[in-house]
Amino acid sequence: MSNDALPPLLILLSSLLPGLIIFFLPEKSVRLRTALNLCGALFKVAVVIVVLQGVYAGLEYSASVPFLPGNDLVLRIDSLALLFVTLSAGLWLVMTVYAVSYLEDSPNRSRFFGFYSLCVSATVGIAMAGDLLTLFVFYELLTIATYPLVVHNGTPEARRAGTVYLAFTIGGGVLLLAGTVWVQTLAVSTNFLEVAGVLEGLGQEHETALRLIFALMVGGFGVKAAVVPLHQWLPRAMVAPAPVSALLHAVAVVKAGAFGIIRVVYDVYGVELSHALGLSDALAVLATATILYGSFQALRQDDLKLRLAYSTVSQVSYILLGIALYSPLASIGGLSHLVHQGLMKITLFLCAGNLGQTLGIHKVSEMNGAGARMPWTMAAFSVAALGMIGLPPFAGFISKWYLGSGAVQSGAGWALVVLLISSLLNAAYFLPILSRVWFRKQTGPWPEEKSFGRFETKAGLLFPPVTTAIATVAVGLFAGTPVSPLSWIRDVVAVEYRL
Amino acid sequence: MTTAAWLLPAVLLPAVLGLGLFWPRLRGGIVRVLPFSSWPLLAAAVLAFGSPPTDLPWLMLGVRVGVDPPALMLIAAGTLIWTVAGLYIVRHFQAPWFLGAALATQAGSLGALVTFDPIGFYFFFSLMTVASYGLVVAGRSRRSHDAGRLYLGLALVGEMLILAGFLIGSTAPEARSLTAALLVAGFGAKLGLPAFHIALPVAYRAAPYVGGALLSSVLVNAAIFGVLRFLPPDGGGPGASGAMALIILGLLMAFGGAMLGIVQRDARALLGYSTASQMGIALSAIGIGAGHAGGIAATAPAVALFAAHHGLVKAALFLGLGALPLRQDWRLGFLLVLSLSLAAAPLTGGALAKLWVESAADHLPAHWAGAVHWLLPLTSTATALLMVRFLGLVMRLPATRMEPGGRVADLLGLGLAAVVLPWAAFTLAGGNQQLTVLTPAHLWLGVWPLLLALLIALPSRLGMKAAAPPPPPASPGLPVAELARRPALGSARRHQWATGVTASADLLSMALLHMIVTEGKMRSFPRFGVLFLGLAAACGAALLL
Repeated sequence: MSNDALPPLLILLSSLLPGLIIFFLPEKSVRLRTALNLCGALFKVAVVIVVLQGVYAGLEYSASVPFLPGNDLVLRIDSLALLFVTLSAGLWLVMTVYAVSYLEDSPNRSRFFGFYSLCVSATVGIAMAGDLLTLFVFYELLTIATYPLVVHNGTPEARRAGTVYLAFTIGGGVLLLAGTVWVQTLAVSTNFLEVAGVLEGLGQEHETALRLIFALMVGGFGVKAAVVPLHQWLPRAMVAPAPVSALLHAVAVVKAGAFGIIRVVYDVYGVELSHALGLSDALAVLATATILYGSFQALRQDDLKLRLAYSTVSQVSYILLGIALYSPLASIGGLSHLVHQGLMKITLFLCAGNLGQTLGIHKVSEMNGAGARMPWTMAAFSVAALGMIGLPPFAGFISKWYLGSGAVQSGAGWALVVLLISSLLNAAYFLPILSRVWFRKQTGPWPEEKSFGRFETKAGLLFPPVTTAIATVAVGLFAGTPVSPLSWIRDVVAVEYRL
Repeated sequence: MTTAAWLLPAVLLPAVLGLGLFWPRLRGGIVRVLPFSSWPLLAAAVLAFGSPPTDLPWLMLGVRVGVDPPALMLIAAGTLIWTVAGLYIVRHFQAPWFLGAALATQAGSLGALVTFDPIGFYFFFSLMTVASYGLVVAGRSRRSHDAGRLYLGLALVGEMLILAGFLIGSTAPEARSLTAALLVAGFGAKLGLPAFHIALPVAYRAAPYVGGALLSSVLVNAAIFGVLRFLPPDGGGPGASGAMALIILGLLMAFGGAMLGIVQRDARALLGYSTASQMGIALSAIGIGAGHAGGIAATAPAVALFAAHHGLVKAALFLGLGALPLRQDWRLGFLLVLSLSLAAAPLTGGALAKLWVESAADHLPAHWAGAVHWLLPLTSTATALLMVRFLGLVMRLPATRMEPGGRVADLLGLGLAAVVLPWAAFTLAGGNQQLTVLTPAHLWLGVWPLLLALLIALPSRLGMKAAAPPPPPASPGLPVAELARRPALGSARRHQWATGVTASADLLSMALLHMIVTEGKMRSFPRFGVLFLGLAAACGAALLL
């Protein structure tokens, strides 16, 4: 095995190994478990930094592990994969710190952190998957690793949510499997190459098959990406603890779905072919419907986490809209939203978790005056919410600017209108929260207040969302610098569009 | 660092101070420097004046900052207004959230003036919009929250139109008319464009006096500046259709705003309509510029001077209305001088600004120029009538309603600046040398519109007319908003729906009820209805001929 094969494997193993060890640790060995988690997360970040430098310098990394006869598991780090890997590695570190504090003194922590690590391993596997089969394997692994987290609380409600989750995701998995096998029969090779889709170059006679495969694959990935009407598991999964919600919404699950669709459009079909067959138009319609539906549903919710959940439904489809519009600018917008939405949504969910843990607040209507009690948490929340609306200088503005420019560039004026309406809807469900938090008087005692000494809440709960909020500001404010995610994404898109 | 690059830290200073409020220990110090936090920007702007704009490619998607003559005028006026308002705010308000909102609004309203690119501008402008919500809801009552929602809702609709205009303007520069229409409509949300205008009086009434002072001065000035800076050239030169449409729209706002204002029974609501009316004049002035061969740039300093003057007067009027601890007759005298300046009485700063704007009209096609030379002075008549009504309302206002914390010296300084500063700016900007403002002919040009107003106002006892019917509801939309909110409507589920959709339902219902209420008020002033209809008809006829 060459040196180039090591980094992908290290990235994968840095969460897989700690996860497997943690399963066998006794519940009481808190320190060892925490140390394993943190070391794994830190090590992963370190490897990612090295790989970033390597890829920037033009190196290529790939590894293959024997799997089925004639079909190896291929791990390959291209710039698109690295985008997703960097995002999940960074956020995993933040989330580990948060989850350790959040779950202090709660039962079944070994089980929790074991599956938590598996979940992240599956996610980086999806990111680095070098062909369709590998992608499928890790995608299914993610389904299985996430289920125990969704039902972690063990309540009847949690179990029902878990059942719905499994029903949807396994159904999606079946569609994806069918699509994958079908592609394997048509294509010479299913290795993702940066320059072309694996199905490009097939003759006219395959047109119907190509359309059906696209439907199967988008159906399969669309479940996790929460595309309407396959989104229904996501709001229900809100019964899970806050770190799991953050994982589902920002780091792993919905992102895996969106990333899968990106791979389908860019690497299975290629931009040109999906445009020529009208497949991207269909995807754009689907994304538009999801964006508007999610926003309208979010307006109705009084439960904070539910409101955030429907907001995710809406926002993840920004990514899909971006890649569906036939325009490099829109693609930059969509891909950058993959990163930006992750940063903002994780901040929102962690803040929601803080409100629950510290004040017992779970509903929007209970939040009056919370800004005075928890200024830092609510400041982080506000940054992320304003970013979601798409106000500068926050991350969300950068995505929206590119998406809007792309809509104009591709002549899809309707997409611009949808974006702006959606922004107004975002404002309509986020700004009332901010108004309550900062400008209204506290209406009564907090439902369940706990005091944690020096800070407004536990330090381990406070610093993660503040960190991601700062990142939300930084990636927006300094988007023009060469080290920003935006600059990276510009390069990715230049390759996909062969600019 | 180039001189222009100093603008950025100076602009961001108030925002940084706002963030500092999160540390309770720093609050005392921040409160002490708050009123003067705009001064570094003025200094930086004076230093950077004349040097070319600087590009900051690393900031967001690339930002360009610099100072040109219109910006300098508006920054100077803005600094003055923010200083007086700041002195008042630190005496009157302690809550950190209000101080933070004021500081962020300040950073946005002044920062927008130093940007040369859409993205930087949009950043500061939206910061200002969102933060100014805090100024509106400062009362923290149900009424102020309802007003805040209406205000912010319409403002955000405007923001989206601006964003659409910027996106189309930067990606498809050939679609100039569409860009121009979107930008005018978007900025119009702040300027009181028809339909958007309903938010102005409601917000001004709900906000504390200092909030009204700021909303009607620095915020609308940022919007006018946005139009000046980003309106794409019409391309047609003299007589271009876009320019003409803007002139007509502006005059419509000027007369319509005055008409709606006169029937108000609340002085602050009246000032809201007055703002829409004055901004109409500013928009038609921009239209005059757009029809100019030299383009908007040729008249931009005149428009900026007009807006700066209006801002100073409006801020002083609001604070003089509610926070001037003086004897009633002295206070009335103060307000009278300001009103005269607003109505462009000879020798005031207002007259100068208006004459400067009017002088640009000579470059329009002959019949347009003729119409403008008639109608612009008539807007002064309309303003004068509105201000007579305003003074009448102030006379009936009980003096006990005065908010504590105002200081006479600050306000007199602000008022004096409003009347005098335009002369200084005019001289510095090198003005139009042919504009011999002090000749008897020009004096008469300033006098006759006011005499006409006096002729109309005196026999009808406009200012004195007692408000016989009960006062209108606090905000015209409230009853409907109330209904939509009432849980008795149905199950908890439906209640959730109701809270969800009130945002949009409120806007619609408020607009509708607002029209009905205003219509009702009109009926008690039949003579003015007829008069203004006549004016509108004359206006249309003059433009068609």
